[in-house]
Amino acid sequence: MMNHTEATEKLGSLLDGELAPDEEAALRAHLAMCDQCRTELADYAALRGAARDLPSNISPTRDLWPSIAARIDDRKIVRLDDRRPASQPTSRSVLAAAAILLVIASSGITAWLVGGGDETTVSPVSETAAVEDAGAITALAAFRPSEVDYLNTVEALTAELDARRHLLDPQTVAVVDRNLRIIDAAIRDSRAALEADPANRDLPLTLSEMYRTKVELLSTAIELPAQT
Amino acid sequence: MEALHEATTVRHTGTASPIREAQAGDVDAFERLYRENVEHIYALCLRLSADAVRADELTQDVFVHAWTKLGSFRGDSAFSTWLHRLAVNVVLGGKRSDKRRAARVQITGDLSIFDAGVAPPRVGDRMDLEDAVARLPDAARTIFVMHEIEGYTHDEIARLTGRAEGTCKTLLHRARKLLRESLAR
Repeated sequence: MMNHTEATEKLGSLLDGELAPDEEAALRAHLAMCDQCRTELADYAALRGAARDLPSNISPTRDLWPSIAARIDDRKIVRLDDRRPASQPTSRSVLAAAAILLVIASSGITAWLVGGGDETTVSPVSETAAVEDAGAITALAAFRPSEVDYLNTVEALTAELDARRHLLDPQTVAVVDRNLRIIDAAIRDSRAALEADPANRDLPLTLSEMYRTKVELLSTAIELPAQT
Repeated sequence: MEALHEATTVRHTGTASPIREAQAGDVDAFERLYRENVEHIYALCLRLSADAVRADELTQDVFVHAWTKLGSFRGDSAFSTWLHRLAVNVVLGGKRSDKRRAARVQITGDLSIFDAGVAPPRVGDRMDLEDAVARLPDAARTIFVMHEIEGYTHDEIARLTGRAEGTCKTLLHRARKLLRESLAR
């Protein structure tokens, strides 16, 4: 006879039709006696049905073709950069969403400039090649417009966080502040390194990642619920 | 899996096929292919990334990548199926790159506090499930979307994600449990 723990572990396999006949028989015997497992199995079946009923098509929020077309030049490809950190859960406020959009827009500008800034630049998929093809513009100069975007975004988010600090759990605020200090230190070091080596094309990307990390942390922090 | 995408199959017989025209370098024909397939590819990217902005980026990457790979499409499967596979590879490849990039800037401290700040999904419509899926841990969400929504088998998922089949099953089990708990709130 299958015990309850074993049974709950195998409910998904039963649903997927992956159990050996003897295992299935044992599980069904358990199900006959266990309301909890029957309910759980029914829930999983309903969940599967709901998942398969989800729409297979979703429209993007904007027409992506112009961006794609810009990256396609006959069979030559100008590769845009893609260097965002791991994604966060969907934003829950307009400010946070706007902040992320700003960051993404800036990252595209950064990549474009650092990657060459010229639509005629041909780089068949290789990021390294794209970077090597960059023109006379220095990496520091290329990054400046994006940095302004980042700084404006950070300023707005920081102001929002400061306005909400008194509403938040002090321990949570302490964790956020500790992480902001770590990121700020990393930004300072990278910024100093870039000023010392303004032609280095890797440093703006590293710096950009740090700014993005900061924006994402702030975006998350301003959406934390008020302390009850 | 194949059957799921038959409905969106792009017919590619005849001289006017947009696929053949695109393969010959016709960008306008490729735009038609984009228009016919973008919503399905975007839905996949959105569910796998759980981030609308990232989904925009990934969708663009998929079509740019498709343009470079069009010559390798021989019509052995439906174009939409070929494109879907390519999209899965692009998205999963992007996830691996994201992890490498995220590892460069390590944040210390306990960020799990943010989990407590996520409002539980409402119960009653499909957005509840979309929201709940989006809030799953990344690995569990990937397996759930591929298996339960996109219809891939565990064997296919294991090959595409580079995970052991048993791990995929464990992650799917975890995803189901988390969704059940989340939707029951």
